[in-house]
Amino acid sequence: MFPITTFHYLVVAAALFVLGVIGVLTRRNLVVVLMSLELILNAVNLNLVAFSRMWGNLHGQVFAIFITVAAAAEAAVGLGILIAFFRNKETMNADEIDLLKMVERRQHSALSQLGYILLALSEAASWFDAQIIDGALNGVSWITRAVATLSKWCDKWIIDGLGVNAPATIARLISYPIRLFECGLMQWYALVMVAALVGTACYLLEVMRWFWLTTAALAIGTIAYMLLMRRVLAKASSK
Amino acid sequence: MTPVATPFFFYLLAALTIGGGLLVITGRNAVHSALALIVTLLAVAGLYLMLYAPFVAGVQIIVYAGGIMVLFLFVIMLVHIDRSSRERRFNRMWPVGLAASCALLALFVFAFAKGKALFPDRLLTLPESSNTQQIATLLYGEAGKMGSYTFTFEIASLLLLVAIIGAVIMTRRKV
Repeated sequence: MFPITTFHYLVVAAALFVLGVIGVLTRRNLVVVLMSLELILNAVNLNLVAFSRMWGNLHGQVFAIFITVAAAAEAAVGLGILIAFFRNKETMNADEIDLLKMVERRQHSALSQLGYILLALSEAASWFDAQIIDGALNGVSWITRAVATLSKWCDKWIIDGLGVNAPATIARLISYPIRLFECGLMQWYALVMVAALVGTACYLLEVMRWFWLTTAALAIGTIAYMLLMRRVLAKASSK
Repeated sequence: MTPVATPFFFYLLAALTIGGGLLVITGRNAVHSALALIVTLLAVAGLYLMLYAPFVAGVQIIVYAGGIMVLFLFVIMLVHIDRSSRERRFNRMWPVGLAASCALLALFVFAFAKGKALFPDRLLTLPESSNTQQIATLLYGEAGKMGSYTFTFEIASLLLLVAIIGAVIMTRRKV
Protein backbone atom coordinates (compact mmCIF):
# COMPACT_ATOMS: atom_id res chain seq x y z
CA MET A 1 0.00 0.00 0.00
CA PHE A 2 1.27 3.42 -0.85
CA PRO A 3 1.44 5.83 2.07
CA ILE A 4 -1.41 8.09 2.96
CA THR A 5 -0.73 11.65 1.85
CA THR A 6 -2.56 14.95 2.18
CA PHE A 7 -4.19 14.19 -1.13
CA HIS A 8 -6.17 11.29 0.35
CA TYR A 9 -7.55 13.50 3.08
CA LEU A 10 -8.48 16.09 0.50
CA VAL A 11 -10.38 13.51 -1.52
CA VAL A 12 -12.31 12.39 1.56
CA ALA A 13 -13.06 16.01 2.44
CA ALA A 14 -14.17 16.76 -1.13
CA ALA A 15 -16.51 13.76 -1.11
CA LEU A 16 -17.96 14.87 2.23
CA PHE A 17 -18.34 18.42 0.90
CA VAL A 18 -20.20 17.24 -2.21
CA LEU A 19 -22.45 15.04 -0.05
CA GLY A 20 -23.26 18.05 2.09
CA VAL A 21 -24.01 20.17 -0.97
CA ILE A 22 -26.30 17.48 -2.34
CA GLY A 23 -28.12 17.36 1.00
CA VAL A 24 -28.54 21.13 1.15
CA LEU A 25 -29.76 21.34 -2.41
CA THR A 26 -32.14 18.41 -2.54
CA ARG A 27 -33.55 17.67 0.91
CA ARG A 28 -36.87 19.12 2.05
CA ASN A 29 -36.54 18.55 5.76
CA LEU A 30 -34.89 21.63 7.26
CA VAL A 31 -33.24 19.69 10.09
CA VAL A 32 -31.50 17.47 7.54
CA VAL A 33 -30.49 20.57 5.57
CA LEU A 34 -28.79 21.93 8.68
CA MET A 35 -27.09 18.56 9.22
CA SER A 36 -25.79 18.74 5.65
CA LEU A 37 -24.39 22.17 6.47
CA GLU A 38 -22.52 20.54 9.34
CA LEU A 39 -21.16 17.99 6.84
CA ILE A 40 -19.83 20.83 4.67
CA LEU A 41 -18.18 22.53 7.64
CA ASN A 42 -16.60 19.24 8.68
CA ALA A 43 -15.17 18.77 5.20
CA VAL A 44 -13.60 22.22 5.42
CA ASN A 45 -12.22 21.42 8.87
CA LEU A 46 -10.73 18.20 7.58
CA ASN A 47 -9.03 20.11 4.77
CA LEU A 48 -7.62 22.64 7.21
CA VAL A 49 -6.24 20.05 9.58
CA ALA A 50 -4.75 18.07 6.68
CA PHE A 51 -2.98 21.17 5.40
CA SER A 52 -1.90 21.94 8.94
CA ARG A 53 -0.10 18.61 9.07
CA MET A 54 1.28 19.12 5.56
CA TRP A 55 2.90 22.46 6.41
CA GLY A 56 3.88 21.46 9.87
CA ASN A 57 2.26 24.32 11.80
CA LEU A 58 -0.87 24.65 13.88
CA HIS A 59 -2.62 27.59 12.26
CA GLY A 60 -4.90 25.24 10.34
CA GLN A 61 -5.97 23.55 13.56
CA VAL A 62 -6.75 26.90 15.17
CA PHE A 63 -8.81 27.76 12.12
CA ALA A 64 -10.65 24.47 12.50
CA ILE A 65 -11.48 25.35 16.11
CA PHE A 66 -12.84 28.74 15.05
CA ILE A 67 -14.92 27.05 12.38
CA THR A 68 -16.29 24.76 15.07
CA VAL A 69 -17.28 27.83 17.08
CA ALA A 70 -18.99 29.31 14.02
CA ALA A 71 -20.74 25.98 13.40
CA ALA A 72 -22.06 25.94 16.96
CA ALA A 73 -23.38 29.49 16.57
CA GLU A 74 -24.91 28.63 13.21
CA ALA A 75 -26.57 25.51 14.58
CA ALA A 76 -28.04 27.39 17.55
CA VAL A 77 -29.41 30.28 15.50
CA GLY A 78 -30.49 28.04 12.61
CA LEU A 79 -32.39 25.70 14.88
CA GLY A 80 -33.93 28.70 16.66
CA ILE A 81 -35.17 30.04 13.34
CA LEU A 82 -36.42 26.56 12.56
CA ILE A 83 -38.41 26.39 15.79
CA ALA A 84 -39.92 29.80 15.11
CA PHE A 85 -40.80 28.73 11.56
CA PHE A 86 -42.34 25.51 12.81
CA ARG A 87 -44.42 27.44 15.31
CA ASN A 88 -45.80 29.56 12.48
CA LYS A 89 -46.41 27.00 9.75
CA GLU A 90 -46.50 23.62 11.53
CA THR A 91 -44.10 22.20 8.98
CA MET A 92 -40.41 21.43 8.56
CA ASN A 93 -40.27 21.52 4.77
CA ALA A 94 -37.86 23.92 3.12
CA ASP A 95 -40.09 24.45 0.08
CA GLU A 96 -42.94 25.69 2.25
CA ILE A 97 -41.01 28.71 3.50
CA ASP A 98 -42.98 31.26 1.54
CA LEU A 99 -44.23 33.68 4.19
CA LEU A 100 -42.63 36.58 2.37
CA LYS A 101 -43.89 35.53 -1.05
CA MET A 102 -46.74 37.68 -2.24
CA VAL A 103 -47.76 35.47 -5.18
CA GLU A 104 -49.57 32.20 -4.89
CA ARG A 105 -47.19 29.30 -4.73
CA ARG A 106 -49.14 26.60 -6.53
CA GLN A 107 -50.82 26.62 -9.91
CA HIS A 108 -54.54 26.35 -9.41
CA SER A 109 -56.42 23.49 -10.96
CA ALA A 110 -59.58 24.14 -12.94
CA LEU A 111 -61.71 22.85 -10.08
CA SER A 112 -60.08 25.10 -7.52
CA GLN A 113 -60.42 28.05 -9.90
CA LEU A 114 -64.14 27.30 -10.16
CA GLY A 115 -64.20 27.11 -6.39
CA TYR A 116 -62.54 30.51 -6.11
CA ILE A 117 -65.06 31.98 -8.60
CA LEU A 118 -67.94 30.52 -6.61
CA LEU A 119 -66.36 31.87 -3.46
CA ALA A 120 -66.16 35.33 -5.00
CA LEU A 121 -69.76 35.12 -6.20
CA SER A 122 -71.02 34.05 -2.81
CA GLU A 123 -68.98 36.82 -1.23
CA ALA A 124 -70.60 39.34 -3.61
CA ALA A 125 -74.05 37.91 -2.92
CA SER A 126 -73.43 38.13 0.80
CA TRP A 127 -72.33 41.74 0.44
CA PHE A 128 -75.39 42.53 -1.72
CA ASP A 129 -77.69 40.92 0.82
CA ALA A 130 -76.07 42.67 3.78
CA GLN A 131 -75.69 46.12 2.23
CA ILE A 132 -78.46 46.53 -0.38
CA ILE A 133 -81.35 44.29 0.65
CA ASP A 134 -81.03 44.80 4.37
CA GLY A 135 -80.28 48.47 3.78
CA ALA A 136 -83.43 48.94 1.71
CA LEU A 137 -85.43 47.07 4.31
CA ASN A 138 -84.07 49.23 7.09
CA GLY A 139 -84.72 52.39 5.05
CA VAL A 140 -88.32 51.45 4.37
CA SER A 141 -88.94 50.60 7.98
CA TRP A 142 -87.39 53.90 9.05
CA ILE A 143 -89.60 55.85 6.65
CA THR A 144 -92.66 53.90 7.81
CA ARG A 145 -91.87 54.67 11.39
CA ALA A 146 -91.38 58.37 10.61
CA VAL A 147 -94.70 58.52 8.76
CA ALA A 148 -96.40 56.73 11.61
CA THR A 149 -94.98 59.20 14.08
CA LEU A 150 -96.14 62.13 11.97
CA SER A 151 -99.56 60.55 11.60
CA LYS A 152 -99.76 60.02 15.32
CA TRP A 153 -98.96 63.69 15.95
CA CYS A 154 -101.54 64.74 13.36
CA ASP A 155 -104.17 62.54 14.94
CA LYS A 156 -103.38 63.76 18.43
CA TRP A 157 -103.07 67.47 17.78
CA ILE A 158 -105.17 68.16 14.65
CA ILE A 159 -108.02 65.64 14.67
CA ASP A 160 -108.39 65.15 18.38
CA GLY A 161 -107.13 68.60 19.29
CA LEU A 162 -108.74 71.00 16.86
CA GLY A 163 -111.68 68.83 15.85
CA VAL A 164 -112.82 67.37 19.13
CA ASN A 165 -111.12 68.74 22.18
CA ALA A 166 -111.12 72.38 21.09
CA PRO A 167 -114.95 72.65 20.63
CA ALA A 168 -115.44 70.77 23.83
CA THR A 169 -113.12 73.15 25.65
CA ILE A 170 -114.88 76.15 24.13
CA ALA A 171 -118.25 74.73 25.10
CA ARG A 172 -117.03 74.15 28.61
CA LEU A 173 -115.59 77.65 28.83
CA ILE A 174 -118.90 79.11 27.61
CA SER A 175 -120.87 76.95 29.95
CA TYR A 176 -119.41 78.61 33.05
CA PRO A 177 -121.07 82.04 32.53
CA ILE A 178 -124.21 80.44 31.19
CA ARG A 179 -124.45 78.30 34.26
CA LEU A 180 -124.95 81.49 36.26
CA PHE A 181 -128.38 81.84 34.72
CA GLU A 182 -129.44 78.37 35.75
CA CYS A 183 -130.18 79.13 39.34
CA GLY A 184 -133.28 76.94 39.65
CA LEU A 185 -135.65 79.71 40.83
CA MET A 186 -139.09 79.80 39.24
CA GLN A 187 -139.21 83.58 39.51
CA TRP A 188 -136.08 83.79 37.43
CA TYR A 189 -137.54 81.72 34.62
CA ALA A 190 -140.69 83.68 34.75
CA LEU A 191 -138.70 86.87 34.60
CA VAL A 192 -136.79 85.62 31.55
CA MET A 193 -140.06 84.71 29.91
CA VAL A 194 -141.41 88.17 30.65
CA ALA A 195 -138.26 89.69 29.22
CA ALA A 196 -138.65 87.56 26.15
CA LEU A 197 -142.24 88.67 25.77
CA VAL A 198 -141.27 92.29 26.18
CA GLY A 199 -138.45 91.80 23.74
CA THR A 200 -140.76 90.18 21.22
CA ALA A 201 -143.22 93.00 21.62
CA CYS A 202 -140.48 95.55 21.13
CA TYR A 203 -139.27 93.72 18.10
CA LEU A 204 -142.72 93.58 16.65
CA LEU A 205 -143.25 97.28 17.42
CA GLU A 206 -139.84 98.03 16.00
CA VAL A 207 -138.54 99.76 19.04
CA MET A 208 -135.36 97.84 19.63
CA ARG A 209 -133.92 100.59 21.73
CA TRP A 210 -136.51 99.80 24.39
CA PHE A 211 -135.72 96.17 24.12
CA TRP A 212 -132.07 96.66 24.98
CA LEU A 213 -132.90 99.02 27.78
CA THR A 214 -135.45 96.63 29.16
CA THR A 215 -133.02 93.74 28.94
CA ALA A 216 -130.27 95.66 30.71
CA ALA A 217 -132.63 96.73 33.43
CA LEU A 218 -133.82 93.19 33.83
CA ALA A 219 -130.26 91.86 33.99
CA ILE A 220 -129.18 94.36 36.61
CA GLY A 221 -132.28 93.78 38.61
CA THR A 222 -131.92 90.07 38.37
CA ILE A 223 -128.31 90.08 39.54
CA ALA A 224 -129.23 92.36 42.41
CA TYR A 225 -132.11 90.11 43.24
CA MET A 226 -129.96 87.01 43.11
CA LEU A 227 -127.32 88.52 45.37
CA LEU A 228 -130.04 89.53 47.77
CA MET A 229 -131.64 86.13 47.69
CA ARG A 230 -128.29 84.44 48.19
CA ARG A 231 -127.68 86.49 51.30
CA VAL A 232 -131.14 85.76 52.57
CA LEU A 233 -130.75 82.08 51.89
CA ALA A 234 -127.31 82.02 53.53
CA LYS A 235 -128.72 83.71 56.65
CA ALA A 236 -131.60 81.29 56.68
CA SER A 237 -129.30 78.24 56.43
CA SER A 238 -126.89 79.59 59.06
CA LYS A 239 -129.75 79.82 61.53
CA MET B 1 7.59 2.26 16.62
CA THR B 2 4.91 1.82 14.04
CA PRO B 3 2.25 4.50 14.33
CA VAL B 4 -1.45 3.68 14.66
CA ALA B 5 -2.05 5.79 11.58
CA THR B 6 -1.90 2.90 9.19
CA PRO B 7 -3.53 3.05 5.76
CA PHE B 8 -6.07 0.49 6.93
CA PHE B 9 -7.35 2.83 9.63
CA PHE B 10 -7.45 5.68 7.18
CA TYR B 11 -9.57 3.75 4.72
CA LEU B 12 -11.84 2.49 7.49
CA LEU B 13 -12.41 5.99 8.82
CA ALA B 14 -12.84 7.42 5.33
CA ALA B 15 -15.43 4.75 4.52
CA LEU B 16 -17.25 5.50 7.80
CA THR B 17 -17.18 9.22 7.00
CA ILE B 18 -18.51 8.87 3.46
CA GLY B 19 -21.04 6.17 4.41
CA GLY B 20 -22.32 8.24 7.32
CA GLY B 21 -22.65 11.28 5.05
CA LEU B 22 -24.60 9.24 2.53
CA LEU B 23 -26.96 8.02 5.26
CA VAL B 24 -27.39 11.60 6.50
CA ILE B 25 -28.60 12.89 3.16
CA THR B 26 -30.72 9.85 2.29
CA GLY B 27 -32.30 9.03 5.62
CA ARG B 28 -36.09 9.13 5.65
CA ASN B 29 -36.28 9.68 9.38
CA ALA B 30 -34.47 12.73 10.74
CA VAL B 31 -33.39 10.79 13.84
CA HIS B 32 -31.61 8.24 11.61
CA SER B 33 -29.91 11.12 9.81
CA ALA B 34 -28.76 12.51 13.15
CA LEU B 35 -27.32 9.14 14.23
CA ALA B 36 -25.52 8.78 10.90
CA LEU B 37 -24.18 12.29 11.36
CA ILE B 38 -22.79 11.27 14.76
CA VAL B 39 -20.99 8.36 13.07
CA THR B 40 -19.56 10.78 10.48
CA LEU B 41 -18.42 13.24 13.13
CA LEU B 42 -16.71 10.54 15.19
CA ALA B 43 -14.98 9.19 12.07
CA VAL B 44 -13.78 12.70 11.22
CA ALA B 45 -12.49 12.97 14.80
CA GLY B 46 -10.56 9.77 14.15
CA LEU B 47 -9.11 11.32 10.99
CA TYR B 48 -8.01 14.31 13.06
CA LEU B 49 -6.23 11.95 15.40
CA MET B 50 -4.47 10.42 12.43
CA LEU B 51 -3.45 13.92 11.38
CA TYR B 52 -1.79 14.50 14.77
CA ALA B 53 -4.44 16.96 15.93
CA PRO B 54 -5.70 15.49 19.23
CA PHE B 55 -7.03 18.79 20.54
CA VAL B 56 -9.16 19.38 17.45
CA ALA B 57 -10.36 15.79 17.67
CA GLY B 58 -11.40 16.36 21.28
CA VAL B 59 -13.17 19.58 20.35
CA GLN B 60 -14.87 17.72 17.52
CA ILE B 61 -16.18 15.02 19.86
CA ILE B 62 -17.14 17.36 22.70
CA VAL B 63 -18.66 20.24 20.74
CA TYR B 64 -19.98 18.52 17.64
CA ALA B 65 -20.95 15.03 18.70
CA GLY B 66 -21.73 16.13 22.24
CA GLY B 67 -23.25 19.60 21.96
CA ILE B 68 -24.53 20.31 18.48
CA MET B 69 -25.97 16.85 17.99
CA VAL B 70 -27.86 17.07 21.27
CA LEU B 71 -29.24 20.38 20.00
CA PHE B 72 -30.33 18.70 16.77
CA LEU B 73 -31.94 15.82 18.61
CA PHE B 74 -33.78 18.25 20.90
CA VAL B 75 -35.19 20.08 17.89
CA ILE B 76 -36.18 16.80 16.23
CA MET B 77 -37.93 15.87 19.46
CA LEU B 78 -39.75 19.22 19.63
CA VAL B 79 -41.19 19.11 16.12
CA HIS B 80 -43.47 16.52 14.62
CA ILE B 81 -41.23 13.94 13.02
CA ASP B 82 -43.98 11.64 11.81
CA ARG B 83 -45.36 13.94 9.18
CA SER B 84 -42.07 14.77 7.51
CA SER B 85 -40.89 11.17 7.61
CA ARG B 86 -43.98 10.17 5.64
CA GLU B 87 -43.56 12.88 3.01
CA ARG B 88 -41.26 13.11 0.04
CA ARG B 89 -37.63 13.31 1.07
CA PHE B 90 -36.36 15.41 -1.81
CA ASN B 91 -37.74 18.62 -3.18
CA ARG B 92 -39.11 19.16 -6.65
CA MET B 93 -35.82 20.54 -7.99
CA TRP B 94 -33.66 17.61 -6.89
CA PRO B 95 -32.30 16.77 -10.41
CA VAL B 96 -31.01 20.32 -10.74
CA GLY B 97 -29.40 20.18 -7.31
CA LEU B 98 -27.85 16.82 -8.09
CA ALA B 99 -26.51 18.10 -11.42
CA ALA B 100 -24.99 21.15 -9.72
CA SER B 101 -23.37 18.93 -7.09
CA CYS B 102 -21.99 16.63 -9.80
CA ALA B 103 -20.55 19.69 -11.55
CA LEU B 104 -18.87 20.65 -8.26
CA LEU B 105 -17.53 17.12 -7.91
CA ALA B 106 -16.19 17.27 -11.47
CA LEU B 107 -14.47 20.55 -10.60
CA PHE B 108 -12.87 18.89 -7.55
CA VAL B 109 -11.75 15.90 -9.60
CA PHE B 110 -10.28 18.17 -12.26
CA ALA B 111 -8.43 20.36 -9.74
CA PHE B 112 -7.07 17.40 -7.77
CA ALA B 113 -6.01 15.55 -10.91
CA LYS B 114 -4.14 18.62 -12.09
CA GLY B 115 -2.58 19.42 -8.73
CA LYS B 116 -1.81 15.96 -7.41
CA ALA B 117 1.87 16.34 -8.09
CA LEU B 118 2.06 19.38 -5.84
CA PHE B 119 1.46 17.35 -2.69
CA PRO B 120 4.46 15.85 -0.97
CA ASP B 121 4.62 12.10 -0.74
CA ARG B 122 5.51 11.92 2.90
CA LEU B 123 3.55 13.58 5.64
CA LEU B 124 5.22 15.35 8.53
CA THR B 125 4.84 13.91 11.97
CA LEU B 126 3.79 16.65 14.32
CA PRO B 127 4.61 16.49 18.02
CA GLU B 128 1.45 15.11 19.57
CA SER B 129 2.09 15.62 23.26
CA SER B 130 2.56 19.39 23.03
CA ASN B 131 -0.27 19.96 20.53
CA THR B 132 -2.72 21.46 22.99
CA GLN B 133 -0.06 23.66 24.52
CA GLN B 134 0.96 25.02 21.13
CA ILE B 135 -2.63 25.76 20.20
CA ALA B 136 -3.08 27.54 23.52
CA THR B 137 0.02 29.60 22.77
CA LEU B 138 -1.42 30.60 19.42
CA LEU B 139 -4.79 31.45 20.98
CA TYR B 140 -3.83 33.15 24.23
CA GLY B 141 -0.18 34.15 23.75
CA GLU B 142 2.59 33.54 26.25
CA ALA B 143 4.57 35.55 28.82
CA GLY B 144 2.38 38.65 28.66
CA LYS B 145 2.44 38.71 24.87
CA MET B 146 -0.73 38.42 22.83
CA GLY B 147 -0.94 35.37 20.60
CA SER B 148 -1.66 35.41 16.91
CA TYR B 149 -5.33 34.66 17.44
CA THR B 150 -6.16 36.30 20.77
CA PHE B 151 -8.24 39.03 19.20
CA THR B 152 -9.97 36.49 16.94
CA PHE B 153 -10.66 34.41 20.01
CA GLU B 154 -12.41 37.33 21.70
CA ILE B 155 -14.40 38.00 18.52
CA ALA B 156 -15.44 34.35 18.52
CA SER B 157 -16.70 34.67 22.09
CA LEU B 158 -18.72 37.70 21.00
CA LEU B 159 -20.11 35.67 18.10
CA LEU B 160 -21.20 32.95 20.52
CA LEU B 161 -22.86 35.52 22.77
CA VAL B 162 -24.75 36.96 19.81
CA ALA B 163 -25.76 33.46 18.75
CA ILE B 164 -27.05 32.66 22.25
CA ILE B 165 -29.11 35.86 22.39
CA GLY B 166 -30.35 35.30 18.84
CA ALA B 167 -31.42 31.74 19.54
CA VAL B 168 -33.25 32.79 22.72
CA ILE B 169 -35.06 35.62 20.92
CA MET B 170 -35.93 33.37 17.99
CA THR B 171 -37.51 30.72 20.15
CA ARG B 172 -39.43 33.06 22.43
CA ARG B 173 -43.15 32.83 21.93
CA LYS B 174 -43.74 36.55 22.07
CA VAL B 175 -40.96 38.90 21.02
